[in-house]
Amino acid sequence: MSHLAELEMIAYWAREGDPAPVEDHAFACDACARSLERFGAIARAIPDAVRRGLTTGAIAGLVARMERDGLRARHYRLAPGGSVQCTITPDDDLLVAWFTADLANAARVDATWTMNGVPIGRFEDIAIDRAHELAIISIDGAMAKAWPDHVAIVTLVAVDDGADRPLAAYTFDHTAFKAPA
Amino acid sequence: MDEAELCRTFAPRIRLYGLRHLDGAAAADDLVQEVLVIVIEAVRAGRVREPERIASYVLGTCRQVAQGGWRGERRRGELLAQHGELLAPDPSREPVIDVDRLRGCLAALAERERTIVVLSFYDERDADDIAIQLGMTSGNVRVVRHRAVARLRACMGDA
Repeated sequence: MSHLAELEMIAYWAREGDPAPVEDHAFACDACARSLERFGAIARAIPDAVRRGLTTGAIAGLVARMERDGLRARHYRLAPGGSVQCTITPDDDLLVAWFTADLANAARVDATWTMNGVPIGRFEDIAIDRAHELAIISIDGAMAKAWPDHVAIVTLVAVDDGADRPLAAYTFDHTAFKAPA
Repeated sequence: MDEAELCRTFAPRIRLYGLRHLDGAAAADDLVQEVLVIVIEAVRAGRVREPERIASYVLGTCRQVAQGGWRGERRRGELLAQHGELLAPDPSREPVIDVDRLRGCLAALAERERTIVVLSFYDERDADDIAIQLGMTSGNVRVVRHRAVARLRACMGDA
């Protein structure tokens, strides 16, 4: 008897397709039942991990889902070349940055990030919300609460055949939250 | 297969079925008890004579109970009173996930992998929908998701 493929088990927990063939097999196969259980354990723990805080590329619907789940988000929407005064408070679970840009001809988009002029990182191949032509990054609030006052510049870069093509830059003038004395 | 072995073998599978089809762990645990009671009763009554048929009988019972198609509260109560310990879910044998470690593993994924995993298992979107949202093909979404889950399992020490 051949075993279930990993793709089938992942699809099962992603609630895709007909679950019956997977169940028919797993109920009669010890090894596949155990594998399905382990895949399921990880899949079912992912919502808890997201609720505890995770920085991730997003789409508008995902941000809405997080807010429906009770996560409190502070939103900043920036046009190309735009800048914003930003902060975070103890009540915020997320910072959500919404970047508009001409993304139509960019198959792959990276985001570079500097803090007070110092390169911090490059997020390669971020997900783009194609329905709204937006790049959305949801930032774990716990991480943002540790930031000092600083100026961050995020640059979206299209990567065409290995070469960078800057799309737009955005400036965040961040004020760290200071609790009242 | 004696009744204790039957419970040990099938309780986890029934619970998986419940976690996939019902709303939450408590409902899945209830399903385990309800299905095992019905199956034990059927075995005692000689309605499941062929041992190789037991798996399909248990699964069929899962489907019937999950769809609300079985009502045997009085008999169930009697059997639970007799065999409560045997039928109780055994959480000690379930895989334990360290959620903070999982957060670290998610953070270590490539950007697109992380987004697709979160859209799949948190936002409960299927591959076709994710493909539309991110401008990919459904097949590519499944490939990226498969790779991401493999990395998560390796990172969690489960590969």
